[in-house]
Amino acid sequence: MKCYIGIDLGSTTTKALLLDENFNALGHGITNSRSNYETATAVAKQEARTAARLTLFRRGLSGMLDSGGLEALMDDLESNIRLEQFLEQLGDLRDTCSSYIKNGDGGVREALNEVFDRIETEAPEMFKRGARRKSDFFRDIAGSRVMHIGEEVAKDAGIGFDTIINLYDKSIIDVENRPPEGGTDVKFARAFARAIEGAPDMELDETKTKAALRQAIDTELEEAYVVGTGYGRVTLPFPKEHIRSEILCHGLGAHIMYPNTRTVLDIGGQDTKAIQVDPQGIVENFQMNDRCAAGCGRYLGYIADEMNMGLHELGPMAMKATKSVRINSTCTVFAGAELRDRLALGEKREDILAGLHRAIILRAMSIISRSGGISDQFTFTGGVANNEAAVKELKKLVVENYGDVTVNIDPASIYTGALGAATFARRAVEH
Amino acid sequence: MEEVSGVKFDIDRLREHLRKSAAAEDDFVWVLESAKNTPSPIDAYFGGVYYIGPIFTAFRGTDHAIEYYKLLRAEIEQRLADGKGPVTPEGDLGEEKYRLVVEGPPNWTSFHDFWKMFYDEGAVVVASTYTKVGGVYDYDGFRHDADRPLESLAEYCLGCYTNRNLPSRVKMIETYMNDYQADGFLINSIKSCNSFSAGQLMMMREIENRTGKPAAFIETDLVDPRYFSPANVKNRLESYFQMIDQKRRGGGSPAVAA
Repeated sequence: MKCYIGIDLGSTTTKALLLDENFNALGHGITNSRSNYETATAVAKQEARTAARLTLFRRGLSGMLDSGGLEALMDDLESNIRLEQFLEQLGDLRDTCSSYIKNGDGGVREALNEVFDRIETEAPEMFKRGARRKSDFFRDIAGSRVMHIGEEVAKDAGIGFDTIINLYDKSIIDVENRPPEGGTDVKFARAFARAIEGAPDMELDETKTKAALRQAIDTELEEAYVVGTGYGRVTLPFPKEHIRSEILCHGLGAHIMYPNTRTVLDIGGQDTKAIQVDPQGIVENFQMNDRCAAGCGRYLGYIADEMNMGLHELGPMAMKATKSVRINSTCTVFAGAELRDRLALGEKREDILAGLHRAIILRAMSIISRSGGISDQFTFTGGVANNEAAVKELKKLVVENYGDVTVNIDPASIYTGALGAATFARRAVEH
Repeated sequence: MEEVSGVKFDIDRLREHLRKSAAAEDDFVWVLESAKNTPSPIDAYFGGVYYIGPIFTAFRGTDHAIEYYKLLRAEIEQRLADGKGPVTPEGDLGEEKYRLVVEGPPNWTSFHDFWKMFYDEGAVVVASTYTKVGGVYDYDGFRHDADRPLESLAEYCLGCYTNRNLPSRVKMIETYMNDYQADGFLINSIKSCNSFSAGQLMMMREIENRTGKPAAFIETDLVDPRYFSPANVKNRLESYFQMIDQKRRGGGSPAVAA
């Protein structure tokens, strides 16, 4: 079948989305941009293709299972595919680390194998249905586990923890820049076997299910047209007409998600954009931050590092605040200093974080106002839209400044730019 | 003044300079207004800053200026006759895709990179306000007048673009948008010159409302290289050009075979 692909190369993450001919989303994929847009594009696209096959399989199964059973099976299958991918990359990381061990380095090889054996053993638990992970990116998961387990193992083996970490640091860049092998067939089959194993009480017609799976895997996903957008779009090996500005893509993507959208706010890693669109999703005006990325997603990334927390943990912690500490600067450079300053004054972490989220949204509000304010309906997109503390502040300030306005936030809002790009791709062929 | 400069005031010499100045001004205005043609034979911003050089600096009221503008006019007349677009640092501009009116000074520290972002996309500036900062000769027909030497010098100063109030600047830009058949209005807002930057967002809204044409806003500086972020400016400009395109087509993508 013909597919239309949108790729959004963000400064932090790279997203891909596949549309079918009827403008239905088949699947999306995301990966960290790792300063290597080419690999990031390949990985995100592969993830989106895998997700597309899952969608096809789901379509093939419709009517064969009740909806609860179908959801459970699909969740299990998806988690198991993630597990398969994780194990594949973990194997690569193990081999790469081994290759850096010098001969005669007694004990290191055994310790390393012990670390990887343990991660392999605990992996199925991490990828169980409903399990919460700090991040879905290999680097984050593997990194935190190697740190954690490596420390114990090194201690027991009487070797330096540094040795293990150095091997990891050297190897992770190689591993990340090698896109995972294809082998969709094998991965799907293995994941499927695991999923079935995990759900013995499910009533499935095995022959029919396997046929549906076979068909989902065998369907050719032909890339009819690809459009790229985002911060790194100029690095794409595409002809110019395949590249679209992210402002147009976010405007159109928001329009497709919520057709009554008139104002869009996108807070990405490097930019905050306010976009006004007409009833057709055509951009009428936009404003964005100047060269300074203060108050963008990257600022939250620095804060998370500074606090030794995961990016996804900031919002939930800020939600626990009992008051909001006033933060004067959304400057990324000064963020650490201001944070430590408030901590030194005895403020609580959650209250400081609440203040930080408010500061970001205040800056976004000023950019919105420069673009012409908010008209009903208002759609919030980009990675920061997944942050509940940011959303809470935004909703408060929207009501204070613009009254009762519908605020749309799609759970898949991070794919808004990729959706716009894929829609442009589909339209380019249609015309 | 005589004491400080050591030169005796000679009103006849002043009249002579004003007469020469007016002669150069005629040809200069002809060159600026050549941009009303499609395609425009000049870029009235990036090229324009070269054209204003002699008259705004050392050569006003001299034979050198008269000669320069005569030569320039002849050259532009030829380009027009040949149907050529503006000259760029990389030769003649190809297809003219977007006609813009630009408000605000250029970015001197990355002038070439900045210009390239326009000519690579086929964007031509058909009128600019920066070229009026040292005197407005086209809009209300001002000329230095040898018969009213002191009065016309005073009128010159009062008439310079940044000495006018915001409503008259908006009116001037609106007239340019219409007379030069511009596709859009672009503001380059800079940090280091408040005579320009104050009130620019209001100006943008007004022009959008009055003309219905898309407007955009970029931020750089004319002297501080740290304020020029090429990726950011390029992003905004490309978005703006694609926005003009999208509006023209009423949505969608350019037609391309699969």
